[in-house]
Amino acid sequence: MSSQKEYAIITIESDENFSLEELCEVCHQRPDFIYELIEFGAIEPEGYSVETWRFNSNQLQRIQRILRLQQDLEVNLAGAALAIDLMEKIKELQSEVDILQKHLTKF
Amino acid sequence: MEYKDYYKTLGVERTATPEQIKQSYRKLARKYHPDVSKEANAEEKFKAVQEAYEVLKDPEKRATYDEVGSNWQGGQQGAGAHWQRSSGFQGFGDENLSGFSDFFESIFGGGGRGPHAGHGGFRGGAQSFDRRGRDQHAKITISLEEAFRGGNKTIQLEMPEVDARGQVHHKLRTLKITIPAGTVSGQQMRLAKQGLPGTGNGPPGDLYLEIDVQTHPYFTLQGRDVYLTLPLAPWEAALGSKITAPTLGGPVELKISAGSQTGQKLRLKGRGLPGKPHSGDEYVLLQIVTPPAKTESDKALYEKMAKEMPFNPRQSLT
Repeated sequence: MSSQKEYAIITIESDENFSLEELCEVCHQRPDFIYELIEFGAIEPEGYSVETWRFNSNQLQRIQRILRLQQDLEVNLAGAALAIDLMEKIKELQSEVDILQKHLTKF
Repeated sequence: MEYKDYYKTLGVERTATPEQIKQSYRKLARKYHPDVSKEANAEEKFKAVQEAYEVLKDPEKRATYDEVGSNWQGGQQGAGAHWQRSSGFQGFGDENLSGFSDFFESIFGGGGRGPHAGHGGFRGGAQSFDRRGRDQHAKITISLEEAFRGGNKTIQLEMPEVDARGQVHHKLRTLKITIPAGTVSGQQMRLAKQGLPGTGNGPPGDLYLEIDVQTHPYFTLQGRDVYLTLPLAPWEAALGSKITAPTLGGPVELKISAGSQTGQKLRLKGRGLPGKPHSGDEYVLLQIVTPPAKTESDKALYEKMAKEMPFNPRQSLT
């Protein structure tokens, strides 16, 4: 029953960034929640005033991860922010381990 | 359609208390959460756990499930009444795109709150018929060469779609995407309005693709930097030499200075993954390899070195 549909998508902006309003739209949240994330240091916008704030796609990804952790694991905002920081640290360390292991076990 | 044993999925007895069910769910959710877990099919397991909990945490749903379970026959459809949420606010048809199994749908219809559904969204209010479609997430794997050069890639995704009568079908969609040069593992790309369709005049959701860069036989990535272990003959390291080293952009000539040692790190600026504001670098880790003494003349050479080059590699240990 499955039929094929083709969509040609020409470009994806790799360094897409968002204003506060756009960010709220894509992550389906109110500005209050974004303020809270900034207060917790979970994300840091570029720009000096709310009007000029810009958020990048990496920050959007962090927000989505925090939301999933909050919803699925019932952790609070501080816990979710800590968890994603630690996960990023683990990822970094894991790639260091991979490099060292490859170097040591090459021969 | 296959019968799903939700008790088995959560690892609890049929007589488990709500507290035991919750405890078991929490433990398994942490274990298999796709953001946390490194297990191979974490996502699938997590969905199964979520589906089981969705049913067993709710006394009414649990009762319906228990009743169905006791006289389940394979291929049975629509056993039990179609479930209506008592709060009645999510009845607009998009909720049956929950990502839950056909088994779940057959018993409970469209009442489920799907995985990663509506994160407290303020747009789809209870009164509104115009709801934005749900965002979809998928993972795609690309080679390190593709991450470096970027380029077009055709991918196929199975995505639920709703027909005019509100029925859900799974359709195979082919997407042509352009991978930007310098894409790193874990990076997410947003394809605006390519997610699930909205209801009423609501716009479609977005599609997110998370990139996974395949491991490479000799290059390893750290962020945008590329690491390479480069083997050297002892004389190349001791006397210095010019050798050819691979980089993602093609081979380059590398000057090895006399007296180089294993573990030394050379930086080839800008030879990693392209990016803003800076491209990554390639780090070459030197590794001196001892040639095997296979023949009599090989052995004689080593013996001559031993005699004429007094050298104690363990000096620092004495």
